[in-house]
Amino acid sequence: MSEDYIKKFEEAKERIIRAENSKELEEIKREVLGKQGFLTQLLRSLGKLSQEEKVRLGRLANEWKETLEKLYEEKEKELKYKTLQNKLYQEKIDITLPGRKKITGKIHPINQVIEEILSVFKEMGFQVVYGPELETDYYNFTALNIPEDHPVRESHDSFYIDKEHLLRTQTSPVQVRVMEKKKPPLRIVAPGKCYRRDMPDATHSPMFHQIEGLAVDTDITFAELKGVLTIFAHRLFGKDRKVYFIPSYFPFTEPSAEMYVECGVCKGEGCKACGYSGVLEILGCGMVHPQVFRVVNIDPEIYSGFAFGMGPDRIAMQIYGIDDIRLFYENDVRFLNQF
Amino acid sequence: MLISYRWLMDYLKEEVPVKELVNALRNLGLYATIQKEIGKNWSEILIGEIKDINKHDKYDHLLVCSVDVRDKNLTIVSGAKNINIGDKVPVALPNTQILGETLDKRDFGGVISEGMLCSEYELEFSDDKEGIMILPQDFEVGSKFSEYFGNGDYLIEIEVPSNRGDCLSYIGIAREVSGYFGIPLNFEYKKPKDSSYSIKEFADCEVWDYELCPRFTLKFIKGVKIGPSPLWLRWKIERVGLRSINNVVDVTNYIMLETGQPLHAYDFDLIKGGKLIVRRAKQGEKIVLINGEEKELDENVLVIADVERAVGIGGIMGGKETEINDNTKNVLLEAANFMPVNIRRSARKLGLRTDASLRFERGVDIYKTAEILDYAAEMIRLVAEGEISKDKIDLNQGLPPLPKIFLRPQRVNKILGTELKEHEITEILSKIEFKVISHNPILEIEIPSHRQDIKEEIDLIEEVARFYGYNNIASLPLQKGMIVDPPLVEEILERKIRVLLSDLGLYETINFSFMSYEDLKNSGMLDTSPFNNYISIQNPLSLENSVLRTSLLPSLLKVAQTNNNRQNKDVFLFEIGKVFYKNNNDYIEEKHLAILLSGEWYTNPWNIPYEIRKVDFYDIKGIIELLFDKIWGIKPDFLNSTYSFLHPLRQSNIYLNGEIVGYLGEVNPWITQEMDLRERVYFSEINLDKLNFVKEKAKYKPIPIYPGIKRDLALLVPEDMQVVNLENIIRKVSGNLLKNLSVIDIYKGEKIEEGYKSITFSMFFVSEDYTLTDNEVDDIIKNILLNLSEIGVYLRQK
Repeated sequence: MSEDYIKKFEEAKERIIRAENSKELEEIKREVLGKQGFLTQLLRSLGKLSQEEKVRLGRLANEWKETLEKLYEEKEKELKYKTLQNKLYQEKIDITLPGRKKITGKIHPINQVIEEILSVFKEMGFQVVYGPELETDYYNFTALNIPEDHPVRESHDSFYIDKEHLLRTQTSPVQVRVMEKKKPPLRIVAPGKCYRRDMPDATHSPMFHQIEGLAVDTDITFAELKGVLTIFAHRLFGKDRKVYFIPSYFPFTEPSAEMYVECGVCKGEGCKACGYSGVLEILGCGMVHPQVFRVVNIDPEIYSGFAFGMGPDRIAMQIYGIDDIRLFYENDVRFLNQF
Repeated sequence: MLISYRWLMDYLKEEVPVKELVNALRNLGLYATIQKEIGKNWSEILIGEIKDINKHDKYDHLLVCSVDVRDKNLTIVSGAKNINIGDKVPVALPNTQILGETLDKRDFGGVISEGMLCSEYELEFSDDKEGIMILPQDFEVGSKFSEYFGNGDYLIEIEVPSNRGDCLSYIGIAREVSGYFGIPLNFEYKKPKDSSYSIKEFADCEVWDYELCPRFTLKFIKGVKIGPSPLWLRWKIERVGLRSINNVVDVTNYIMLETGQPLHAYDFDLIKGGKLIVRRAKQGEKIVLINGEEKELDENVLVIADVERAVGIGGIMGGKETEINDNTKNVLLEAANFMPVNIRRSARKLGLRTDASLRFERGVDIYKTAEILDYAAEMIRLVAEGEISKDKIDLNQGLPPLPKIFLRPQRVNKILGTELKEHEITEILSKIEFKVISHNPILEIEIPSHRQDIKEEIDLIEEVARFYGYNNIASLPLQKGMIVDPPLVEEILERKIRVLLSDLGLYETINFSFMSYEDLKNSGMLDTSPFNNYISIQNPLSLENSVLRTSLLPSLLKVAQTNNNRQNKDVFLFEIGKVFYKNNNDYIEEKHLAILLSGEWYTNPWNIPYEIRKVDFYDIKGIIELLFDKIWGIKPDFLNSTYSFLHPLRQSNIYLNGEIVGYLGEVNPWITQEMDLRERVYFSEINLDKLNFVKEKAKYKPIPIYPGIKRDLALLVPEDMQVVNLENIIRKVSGNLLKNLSVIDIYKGEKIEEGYKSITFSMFFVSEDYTLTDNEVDDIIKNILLNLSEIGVYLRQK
């Protein structure tokens, strides 16, 4: 009798292992583990047996049941996996089709460059400030030691609104506005638009950008001006680029300088990109002129400072190799998308 | 200022190689660039003498010359018309480079030309292309051209800063170079060889306005011979771009270039009354100038006049009627000093910028006027003969003593960050002719007369820095500690907005702050305040740029148009920029943000449903809502607006706390169609000045731990009713338990009654304190429906 059951158990094991789909497996389960299954029959028949046999066979039957149930679960998982796999193979897609996305969007290249420049100065403790674009003659010129009839005014051909008001030709008036309101120590950078009456061509635009900088404290020296601006140049253009300071003239700084950086294309040899000079003009700078301090009631005997101004448009042209400034203000998306 | 390297070297005791010179000038702040190297081939050009000239057998216009170059006679074919037997001429032999090309032996109809006779142009000597250069008879046949004219030359352009009038001259530049290298100057003003007569026997002069003309000097040169200038003189002035006129005029120009002092020579016999009067012009007085132009003058212009009429505009240009001409016998030579500001104003007003006016504007050395006058008279005598008056007229009201300025050596070091000793400072200054008067305890410096730009101590400090060398000053980081000023809100906002909008797929644009009246009109903004309160530019470059923009819309529409015209109709743009308008008598300047969307903004829309490929009102509204949430952490209100430049039913003002901070909508298709924009355009403009704050720091709220209940509610709503009305009721009735309310479907069609639409809301209720029951939520829903029924909204029956 028990041999008969052993045979049935072995047979059941075999059937589960061989089951090919979940329907078949369910059938086997019903036949083997269900009410009509041989295990149920076996357990039912135990009543007639001796106590000893009862215990022995009962234990055996339970072991078999566990084994079969485990086998069943494994098989069930295996079949489910197979079914899913089969389903997945029906779900082919073309992975070379492009993803679902909107148009890219970009920050304007000039503002990218301005942001990069400002970040260098921010790390050195400079605060970003702004000033009006519609300025008065006083702030744009007079307070900056450029009185009426000063020859420098000729290079600042201005757009006038009325006798007093004009579109600022430089960001330098922000210096004066800040110093009027706040007392030193000061470290500011002021980005913004400027306007000059230049006919547009590849290198001129009636509107362009400037970034003005100013540091005022007791004992600020020309050596620090050189240091700060050299750090800036190295950060923006790379540490290997030579930096030169040569004398220049601005009415509101003295001594005044212009900072040049070795041309990155020819490394100083002279090429088309740098107009065969080997250097690129980056910014104008200098020690704040005592007259400017006097105008804003800062004592030049106690305080000194340096100021600088640069043109991000030109710098962006150099960084990106753009040969026509007008492209910036045309806003062709194919242009904007390149940066 | 364009200078000749060779000529500059004449003023220095030692020659400086050209590259070192350019470098030195740059280090001094006189930015120099070599414009052109000329005459590289001059050492290969021979001086020849024409021995014979014959007509070419075949070609009428060619001559066959026999030219002696000492070793041999060359046969040279030339087309020149100005050569004669016996002329000395420059000869180029085969293989010489002429204007960048190699000269070959050439066959002209059977005659082999063994070289070329050169014009001045071909030798880069001047721009004269007419005829062969005829050399002086004393030039030796067979010698090299370079023996007379040097081994070529460099033309150097120097950018002279506007405060350095003294450097608009060879001497001025040479002085700087001399100080830089420590090479002595090689120059002195020649003294005139005087005759025995006095200028007063002939000429008289009066200055009526010493303010405008602080010094006026005259010298008389009797019996000059007007003619072409000698070659050396012509060579010098023509090389740097001046035109040779005649020997006397050329000397005045030569000396102006050399010394920076403009001069003027009059034909004395054409001066009425033999007298010059320096006076202001009469209102409406006219003068014909040496360039042939007639100018009408006013009282602010200073003229040099004779007893009848103006004969020159002081410091700017002489008059035609008294200019030196071929018949001039007696020259009245003027050297004067004029008030810079007045020269600048007059030159500007008259539209006359001359070499003289440039120098007077920048300031000419008033102490040297007479000395240079004498020198110039002598130079005229040397090239045009004549006799110089023994004396001169020198009208001035006395010259002030040279200024003296105190200089504290420790101040030099404090400004420059150097450790210069007093003696180092004085050495530097004395190299450039600054005189140390005393030095106890501080330096007192006498300023040389040519340095009118030196006015206070800081100017001297700059001189010390320049000649010490900017590149010799240390480079130090900031020595003081950090200043802790927090970033301004304005900066944070600008940066965040740029990043957010570009990340959302928008391109940032930068447009001119000016536009035209037409732009404003074409954008339909002329009848809307404040957009029509525009500010005009008094002196615009063109009408296109004559008005300051009052809104960013016209600019962005133009960008859309530009891109449309270039086959890109999908434009997604933003700009942060200023707008300007008038408010009563004030000028208002505001920082605005504008967004423009048009077209399809999915790059590959193959799996995007057609109905959402093109942007619409809700795309721009979504961006605005997202922007306000991310940047300011607030939900603005959208309330109806009536801008005529927007679609009448698709626009809204953006309110914050009851104040309008911007607007959005579809740009009126009437406007966009006129601009040939093919797609509908959506636009929003926000006044950032009214939003000058940043998102408050978030306060943490615990995440709900009790499960919530979700309900969808399909409602029948009268067609014209706005969703905001329903939302307000739902929120009010639901109270705190409603955590999320969203519109998930809107439907109009067959199953819906005429005049109604179906709106389905999804709601999510959660309590923070306990587990909500269905009954509770059912009660809320009932209450909502009850309230909605009062405005004619009902639950939709399936």
